[in-house]
Amino acid sequence: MSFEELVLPPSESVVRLFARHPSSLGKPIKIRPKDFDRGMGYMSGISMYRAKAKEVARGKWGSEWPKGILIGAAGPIQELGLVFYHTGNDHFSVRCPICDLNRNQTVLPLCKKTVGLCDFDPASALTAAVGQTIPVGIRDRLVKLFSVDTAPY
Amino acid sequence: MTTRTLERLSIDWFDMVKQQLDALRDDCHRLNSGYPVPSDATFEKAKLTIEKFRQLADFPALPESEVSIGSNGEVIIMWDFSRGCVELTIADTIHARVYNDDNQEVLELPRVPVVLSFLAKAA
Repeated sequence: MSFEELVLPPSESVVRLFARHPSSLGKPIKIRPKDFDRGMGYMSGISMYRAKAKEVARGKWGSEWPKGILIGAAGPIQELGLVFYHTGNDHFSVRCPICDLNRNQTVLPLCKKTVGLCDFDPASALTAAVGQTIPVGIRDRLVKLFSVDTAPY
Repeated sequence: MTTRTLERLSIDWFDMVKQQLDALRDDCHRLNSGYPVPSDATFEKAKLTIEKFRQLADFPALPESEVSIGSNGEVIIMWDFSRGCVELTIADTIHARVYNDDNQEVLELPRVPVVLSFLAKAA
């Protein structure tokens, strides 16, 4: 299966699902870098949906923990140099441009980048940069581009 | 005596983190979080790590930590200070970093309690 790059208008809203430990109910929600972790078990990008499909997205994620939706605009994400790959209906995967969309990670490496660190992957950045102060990574920057969607559903 | 007891409770952040980790582990098994469940060994490693930290520094009161799980079965513990966040990611290996809006620094584990203590005193 091949995936095509999806270019969205800068003002179009996109959404990301998140979950919280049940003990956090009633507390203010702070968006955290972990909310933008990429899952390495299925595909290797950050899963997002076009905002028009947010109710579909909410229903698809089987988390029984309190869950919510983060909403942001496509433009600032694309300005970070990230690319959207259309993966079906209104779902897309957010990745580095160089990403080979590898889903068979036991056979092929996840990342094609051979020079420098993969800014997308917190573990690789952490391993290589002990003691150095470096710019925050992609997940940290995404935190500032999203807000919690408070619209009723 | 009551005052001393309350004071002790207010600084006993280690017990609080342990309780949070136990609750997290229970809830991971009780309810599907949508993320892979960290192994029991990972939870134990998280507790041991925190215990080592406590032994390494004389801590002032820390803010309430947040414990959560990552997309790949990690246990994440973080403290949010006014000047930045300290984040521990515990899986097969343990990563620690301190970060603010613009920069991050990766911490070797022995430095974590020092940084925690510094940020808590500076708050």
